[in-house]
Amino acid sequence: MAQSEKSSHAQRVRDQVQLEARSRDHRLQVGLVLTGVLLLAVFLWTGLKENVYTDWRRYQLEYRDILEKKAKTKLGRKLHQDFDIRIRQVVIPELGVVDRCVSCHNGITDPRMTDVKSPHKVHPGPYLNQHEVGKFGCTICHRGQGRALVFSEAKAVGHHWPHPMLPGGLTQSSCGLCHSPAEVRSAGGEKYARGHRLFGELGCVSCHKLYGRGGSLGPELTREGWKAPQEVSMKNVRGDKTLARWIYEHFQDPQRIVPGSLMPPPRLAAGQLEALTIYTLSLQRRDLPSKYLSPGKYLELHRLRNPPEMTGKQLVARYCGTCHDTGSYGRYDAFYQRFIPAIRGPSFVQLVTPEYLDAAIRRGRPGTPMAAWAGGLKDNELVKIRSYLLGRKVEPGVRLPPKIVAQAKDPGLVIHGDVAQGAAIFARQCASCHGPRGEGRLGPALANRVFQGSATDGFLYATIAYGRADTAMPAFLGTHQGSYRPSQIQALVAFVRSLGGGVRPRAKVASGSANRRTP
Amino acid sequence: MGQPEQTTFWQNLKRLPWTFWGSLVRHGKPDTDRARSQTVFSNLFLHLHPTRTHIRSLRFSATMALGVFTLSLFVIIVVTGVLLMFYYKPSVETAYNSVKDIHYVVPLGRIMRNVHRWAAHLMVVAVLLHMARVFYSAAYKQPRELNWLLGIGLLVTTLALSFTGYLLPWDQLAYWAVTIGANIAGSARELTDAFGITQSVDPGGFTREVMLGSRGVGGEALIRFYALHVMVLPIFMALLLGVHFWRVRKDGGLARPDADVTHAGKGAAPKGSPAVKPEQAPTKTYGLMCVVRDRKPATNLDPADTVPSWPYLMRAEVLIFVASLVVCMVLGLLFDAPLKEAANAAIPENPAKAPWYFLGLQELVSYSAFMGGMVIPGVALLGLALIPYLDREKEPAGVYFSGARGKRIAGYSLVFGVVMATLAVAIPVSYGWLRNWVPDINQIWIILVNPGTLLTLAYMAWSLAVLRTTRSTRMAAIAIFTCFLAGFFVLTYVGSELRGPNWDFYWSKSAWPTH
Amino acid sequence: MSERLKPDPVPRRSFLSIAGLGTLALAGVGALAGMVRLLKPYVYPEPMARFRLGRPDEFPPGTVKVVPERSIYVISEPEGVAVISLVCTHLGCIVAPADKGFDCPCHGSRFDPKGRVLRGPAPRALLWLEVSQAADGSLMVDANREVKPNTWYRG
Repeated sequence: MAQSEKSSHAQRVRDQVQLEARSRDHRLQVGLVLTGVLLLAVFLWTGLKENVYTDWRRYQLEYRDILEKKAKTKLGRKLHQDFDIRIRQVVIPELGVVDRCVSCHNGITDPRMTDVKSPHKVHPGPYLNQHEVGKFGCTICHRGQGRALVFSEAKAVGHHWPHPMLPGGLTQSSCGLCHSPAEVRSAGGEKYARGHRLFGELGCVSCHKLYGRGGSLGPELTREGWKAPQEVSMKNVRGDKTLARWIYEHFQDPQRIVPGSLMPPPRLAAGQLEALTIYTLSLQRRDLPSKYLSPGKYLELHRLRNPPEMTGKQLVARYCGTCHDTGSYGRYDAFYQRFIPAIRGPSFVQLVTPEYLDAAIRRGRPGTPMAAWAGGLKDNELVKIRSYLLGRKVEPGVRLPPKIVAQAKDPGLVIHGDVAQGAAIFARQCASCHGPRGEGRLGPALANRVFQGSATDGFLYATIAYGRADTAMPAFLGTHQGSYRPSQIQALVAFVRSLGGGVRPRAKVASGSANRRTP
Repeated sequence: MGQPEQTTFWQNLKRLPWTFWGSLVRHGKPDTDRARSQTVFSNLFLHLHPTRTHIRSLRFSATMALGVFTLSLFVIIVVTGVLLMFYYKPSVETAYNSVKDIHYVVPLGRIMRNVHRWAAHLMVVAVLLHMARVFYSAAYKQPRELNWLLGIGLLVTTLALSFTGYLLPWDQLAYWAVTIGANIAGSARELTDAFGITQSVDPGGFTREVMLGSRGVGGEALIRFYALHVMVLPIFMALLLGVHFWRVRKDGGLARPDADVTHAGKGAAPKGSPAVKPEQAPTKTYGLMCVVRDRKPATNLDPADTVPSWPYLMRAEVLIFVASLVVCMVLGLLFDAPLKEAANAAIPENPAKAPWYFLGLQELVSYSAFMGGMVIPGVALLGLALIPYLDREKEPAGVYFSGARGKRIAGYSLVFGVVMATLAVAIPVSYGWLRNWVPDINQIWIILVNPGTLLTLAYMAWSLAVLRTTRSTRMAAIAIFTCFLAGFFVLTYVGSELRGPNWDFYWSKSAWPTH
Repeated sequence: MSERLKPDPVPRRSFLSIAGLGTLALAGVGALAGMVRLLKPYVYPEPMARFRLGRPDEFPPGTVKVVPERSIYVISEPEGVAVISLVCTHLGCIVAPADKGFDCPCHGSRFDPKGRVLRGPAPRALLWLEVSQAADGSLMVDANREVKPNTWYRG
């Protein structure tokens, strides 16, 4: 009895389970059909996206129609007949070029394609006559992402590609990859050549190095035109966040793009701005295969790396003149808001020792726009500059007393004076230009270590006493109102020396004239 | 009946299609339960299933389909991955461009890569959810401890696969994420540095170099990651998977309460005894299993509650697979897998972020690389592994949260976990930490006392408190598991959404300073 | 024997199950087709098969020129210009121009100057490639398109 009860219970369970399984299975079957249909739809979507709705296919179909319309000659008919719809590309392994631009720009080499819409047009200008697409590709000149098959991604502005397409006007910068400016000046590279000339005229190398040569105040520019956008700060760039735009806006206003930049605004007209941007973009150091470089480019690169010998005068004009001009007078620079020393001034060249000049040129004046030149120029060039500056003829009218000149060249000479008195005079007379602690304002920084380490006491005395002809530094020795007696000037020298924190020129061992008192 | 047994070559040839089919499919049409069972039984791929499945295991609520979902994703990843291998070129010079080409010109290459990527991300999620499901339904308990351990192995392998794959596109994202990941692996150096013994004992440097094959991420790392990603780890994964599935069967199928809740009503059947005695069970082809005297395999318990796996279980599995494929394809069609600029060791990404599932770790690492990168994840993994050995209470498996009390504890723990994790982020963000307060503090203090370690300790304390109050190891396990899960989610969210350049805190990505 | 020992009655395949199987089979075929499609690339990572040879006036009649990087041989005669592939038709070695014709270094096939087989295992003459003109007039060669031997292109 219990047995059968139990078994009927089991039967009930069994039926329930069967029922549930069946109804569940029915729902599963419906679900399977639905998801199966969904899957088919997704496959269809994929297939369409892949094979039908692609830009290049649409453009090629359009282009085939154009070819048909233009098929007037035998050649034209053959071109239409042979045109098949497929991805086209230019592959140049030695340049690392894989350019699929020709998948949409199908008429790029067809001279008949002058009256058609944009992607089908023939390439403007005579550029392709010398630069066959199959040998150069497109991105070598235009930049951009050649592998892409969609225009926005080929242009690659903001698409995670380091070298987006150059705006049309700036493409000339790519001439500089293989050509020297002189070669293309009248062959389609006018702006590039003009930018190169401007680069020289503006004296950019005074602060920037090119292939290791030049000033060190600004960054080296050898591959400035091939930087990735992340290498510069795009924060304040108003246009596209591209390198080309960064360079352009930076030339408009260096301080807006790079806050705190030491670069004086070049103040260029629009055309010059574009030309200089183009030249800067041409600085890439890509090291292309040598067979691509023109003879002129070889020569240019060779000259950049192995510069021809220049005279001291040429060197000064090229590397120093940007700030110091001829160097024979002192001038006020509105951008840096300071007087720029007359490095060939008559008073200066009489007093200065070769060691002083050497230190000033090689080590610069830390904390001022005068940067160190050791490394930026070769040793013998620095010597040439020094000799050129020292070699200035001094007219009789500005000659200093020989005794004063001799003192100035004696590093062993120590001038003693009343530091407190000197401080008082300094605060009254000198601080407005040189700063209360000699830190330098309009005038040179006197507390500067390099200065203190190379300026002799005699040099300081002579400079304060007799001033600097043709500069803003007046002579303070005299008897009239506002002048000072020699002891007061000695006090000033002592005070200035106290600003250096014990740094002073090393006495020559041989001179044996240590610790002599002044007259 | 002339020459009945005489077969000739020609007759054999004529019968070839049928004999061949017969050798392939060793049973009749699956139109009876027995034939269906045989179908499952005699097929290598299907026989991972039991011939009959408990009705309860078929219900969505029992598994939420997460295990099969994970497996489906794995299959999708393997297939797309093999296809991608035909085009991917694993070297520093070619890797990035080959991925670009897969994206642009390989027929269907873009969708394959997208599906591979999204399925990989989904798989990490699915593995975590599957683990949570198993945990909350108490399915890790005896006799399933081993399978729980295998599951943890699978979790680690999944993460390793995702991480090694992350490097392969060789773009900025990959390069810097892996640089960070490798530094986390080498973070033991932080401790040895603090003691000043790195010169002589340098386990951090060792793991790092073994991982990268060099000092930094370069060609050696790429080929290592490639070998791991396409061969070593998938094989290991497949092995583990096989054992994992096999254990599911050997441990008696899905975990479920002994006296099951069928539609016949709770407790309708006498507790502890099957609804049908084995001797009354329908004749079935149990084969050898009938002879085995043990509770394993436990397939023949309450046979009345079971239905043939074919077609009921199979259909559900196929449905899950197809649905997963649809999900991955739609994701792949809508969203391209990311590909940034080619890797450049000179231009760091800022912020440089690890893959998202490591961002919780990266958040911890921002306090202390050694604690956040080695100790805390190590402790968490060890804790996970120990759960089934420390919690041996005999409770009905297969009941979520083991009842209402567990649900309550899980709720409280969730709140506690979220609050503490939020505090662990908020306090350093608002007030700074030891280094801000005592600038010259010894690094050892930084390592020992940081928000990450404190958070871990708080979770442990909470769990101990629950243990004391409830006197139930299961409840304590629920508490700590929930806490860690909550902490993982909070920290991952913070790391991925609220951290910007220089790992600074930002409420939204739009507030990031433009580079 | 209890009635439960009889096999369960199973309903015939329903429309639903057939529909489900059908769509899945279709999707499977689609997926398989996609996978096979993936293996046949659209483009190759090598220079295009169709390339520019030069301007027609670079090849006056009587010119004979080997372009080694493309493995082709250009002949210009009064009838026109022709391009012969230097790839041996036997197993793909590059044949070398010899005194009279071409020698294959691999298995000793020999061809006459017009590519006809003189001896050796080569099954057929060297391929004559299609010469055409681009829109700007320059001569183009398509390494993928074969023409009949003795087809001379005249612009």
